[in-house]
Amino acid sequence: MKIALSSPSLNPVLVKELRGRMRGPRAYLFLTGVLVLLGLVSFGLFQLVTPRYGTFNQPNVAAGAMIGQFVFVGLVFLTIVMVCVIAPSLTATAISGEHQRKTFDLLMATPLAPFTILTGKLGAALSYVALILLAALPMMSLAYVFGGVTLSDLVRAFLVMGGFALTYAVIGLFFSALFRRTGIAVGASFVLVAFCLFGTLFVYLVLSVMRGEQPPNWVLALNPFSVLSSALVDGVVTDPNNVFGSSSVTPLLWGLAGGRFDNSQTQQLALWYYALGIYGWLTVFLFALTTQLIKPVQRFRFRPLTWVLLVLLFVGPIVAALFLYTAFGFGGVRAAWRWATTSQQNIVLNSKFTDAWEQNWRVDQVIQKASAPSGSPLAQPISTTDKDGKHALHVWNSDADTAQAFAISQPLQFGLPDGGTVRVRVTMRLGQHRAPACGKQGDTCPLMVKLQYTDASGARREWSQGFYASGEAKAKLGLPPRCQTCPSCKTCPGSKPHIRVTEAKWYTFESQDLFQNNSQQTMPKSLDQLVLKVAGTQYEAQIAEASVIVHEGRPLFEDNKKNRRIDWSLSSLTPWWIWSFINGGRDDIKGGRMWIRQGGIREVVPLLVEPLPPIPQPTAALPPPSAQ
Amino acid sequence: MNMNQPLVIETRNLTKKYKKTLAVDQLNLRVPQGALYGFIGRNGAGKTTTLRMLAGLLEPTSGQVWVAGERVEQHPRQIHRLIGYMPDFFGVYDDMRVWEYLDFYARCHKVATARRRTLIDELLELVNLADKRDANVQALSRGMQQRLCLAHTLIHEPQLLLLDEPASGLDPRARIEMRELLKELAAMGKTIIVSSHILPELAEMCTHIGIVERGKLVASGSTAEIRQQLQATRLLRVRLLTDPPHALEFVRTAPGLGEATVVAVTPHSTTLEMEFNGDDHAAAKILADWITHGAPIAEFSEGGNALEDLFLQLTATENA
Repeated sequence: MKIALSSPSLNPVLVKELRGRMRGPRAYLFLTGVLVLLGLVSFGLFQLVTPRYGTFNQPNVAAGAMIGQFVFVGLVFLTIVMVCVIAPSLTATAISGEHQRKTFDLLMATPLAPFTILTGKLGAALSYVALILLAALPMMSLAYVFGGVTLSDLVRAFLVMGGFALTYAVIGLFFSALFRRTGIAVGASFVLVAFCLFGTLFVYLVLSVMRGEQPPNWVLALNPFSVLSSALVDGVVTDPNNVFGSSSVTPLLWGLAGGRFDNSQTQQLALWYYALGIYGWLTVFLFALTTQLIKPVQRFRFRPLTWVLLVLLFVGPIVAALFLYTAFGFGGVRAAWRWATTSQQNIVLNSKFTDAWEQNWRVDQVIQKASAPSGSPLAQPISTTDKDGKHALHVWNSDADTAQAFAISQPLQFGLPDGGTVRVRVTMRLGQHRAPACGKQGDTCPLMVKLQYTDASGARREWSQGFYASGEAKAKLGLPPRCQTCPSCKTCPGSKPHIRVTEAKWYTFESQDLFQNNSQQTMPKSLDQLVLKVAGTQYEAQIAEASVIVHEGRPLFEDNKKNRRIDWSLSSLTPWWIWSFINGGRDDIKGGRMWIRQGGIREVVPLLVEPLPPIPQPTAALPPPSAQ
Repeated sequence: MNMNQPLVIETRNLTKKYKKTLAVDQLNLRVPQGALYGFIGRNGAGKTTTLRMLAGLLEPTSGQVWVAGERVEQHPRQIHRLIGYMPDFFGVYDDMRVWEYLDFYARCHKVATARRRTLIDELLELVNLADKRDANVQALSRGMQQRLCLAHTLIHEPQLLLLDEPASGLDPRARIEMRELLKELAAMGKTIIVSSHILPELAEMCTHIGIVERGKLVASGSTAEIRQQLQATRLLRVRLLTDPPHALEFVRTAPGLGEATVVAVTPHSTTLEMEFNGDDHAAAKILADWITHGAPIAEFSEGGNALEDLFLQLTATENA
């Protein structure tokens, strides 16, 4: 005799449980009982509510909707109580029953994995709950007929009920494996379910009396009524002030869901998101723990310390998640994710002009004065040169009488929905120019780099930085150190002085994060265009590189949004004297930022952008420009 | 014990402590392949604990168990494919028919669907339950449940059977049937460990015997070896229809006998016991001699049960 150890068949425990459970009249009698109860309750609710809204004799659409909602909510609440009681009571006997019937050893002596045994038990219990839910469905669609209830409400209600059935079934399974005695396991499950159903409401009420205001809604996160209400009311009620106007049961649902009645426009996360996280994690955690508990030969021993560690292991991620959410919101966490999963990239195409520059760059002649009439061809065409081993864009004007200005631009159209750091790197060589510094208005630098962007509020903004080589930007010469007339610089919060570079020497400017000090409203949502403005009379500019280096997202603990009441970041939560200690007694610079202690809340003040020392000449020659 | 045979089970310093009670104490068990191993001890001696550890259902406090060369604690699921385990106390599920019971365990062992049905019928035939195929398992008598449980241990055709008191709670006839069944299984080449607190039940059929007392293995080896140990302490029992002085007079003459002691006296007879170190031929000669001398012998037998005495002796030593 040879046994084929093959055939991926059904879970044997599931088969056995289902055979046993559905045998005999018991299961059907129970189901009938449930249906009779639901029927009576919905009839009672109908009778209760009809006199308030009118009767069928006077057809009234609004009344029908209200009746429908009332009956639906009543049925759904009754069903969720049944689900929350039945699901754990089915599983609480699953493992303890095996112990009590003395079949546990026989089961464990088979090669079945604990996971298979538990999924079998769970599957059998849940399929029975599913049967009850399915049986209740026609009753609820009766409410659906009255109106006021959408298909989406029905789907949400069933999703929430199914979720609770799963979680409470796993809790029952856990207690069953833990206590090994049916009575205690069922009792413990019921105590827990009763706490979730009523205890949390009680805590919420006590808290609201004690605080004299509504507690945060997450206090109700474990309550099935509240979670169900929040799922039903989420999206239906967008205006909390108008909540009473909409329907008879909506205020009840809104209240149960921990919604605010106090006109405060506080945005609260809908309760069922909390519930989804907490119960989902609880389910996975307890299931994994139960697989360990029923192993006869255990990997680790369950000592008191083990339980403490397990509780920490369970609570830890919840606390961490709440901390992350409270401190940074979903946007912050998403931005941190983006920050972690992307790296720096240069969003400028052909930034070193190695390909034919006309492909990616556009030239607009902005000004042409004096000798040449407007609209005539460029006084000097733009070309490329190879100088000192660098391949560069070459713009010059040898005519002392003619002022000219070019805007060499590249559209970027790069979205930054989660924020990010943006740095600009420009390598240039500026020759002697006639106008000292950047001219009288400070706007005719030989080279001015502009980054045009759209901020979160939709306003178009510009960051700019000017460079010059000749002349002194001193007040005594009557020359402004920074641009006075360009519109951009009036809107720039920290208008930067122009940078003087050494004449006829290569210089690389590398900015810090351009927007590190912007508030949330002025953070760029998209980078629109990079403009290299070359202007003056008798000048020469060579540009070897123009890059915009972007790192999307935001690291969690570099967060320095000014408009936030409390900066939750780790560095800001660290007492100042620790930083002081770390920095050797100075209230000092950390990552290019100066931390100044001001009355408990630290302001982040940016360091001025200092020109970096010129980088040495690259050793390797750049590739030659492609023949075009 | 033939040490050349491969060992199916080997334990090294197997120890199990329940809080303060030492249930199994440094047990070194060696069971060769093909053995029908009688694991004997009083109630509470640690038999069940040992068997559960062998089956990978209980974690030893210390020590190791090898089954077919594999550490049980490390590969419990592979081990479960090799062994069939029958606990001393077991229950059956509610609402389950006899064939479903076997079907469930067959599924647990992933027996192919096509094979399952015929296998169940074969096993029910083997344990004489073919006519109860559709009965409810709870409605079966204790003996039938016992046999059904034995059938379930065979569902995956294991090479090793761990049977914990398979005959407990059975009536004499059922015990004999169970014994025959075990012999049949042993003949099929399976290694069987069967525990019992009643020694004679096992002594007759087992190839090997291990006696456990207070968690310690006090004697172990093949049945022949254990019998040999007993040769020196064999007892002869004689009942003579006379009073004690005369009786002692008669038996004193025989060679190779130790000092006779009076065990029982009735108005008409005296029962004597004496140590004897000869074989059966010597015993026959003594009897013939006595009869020719006209001794009124009503009964002549081997005194007590040798194995049981050894058992008592060993356990008594431990108790002392």
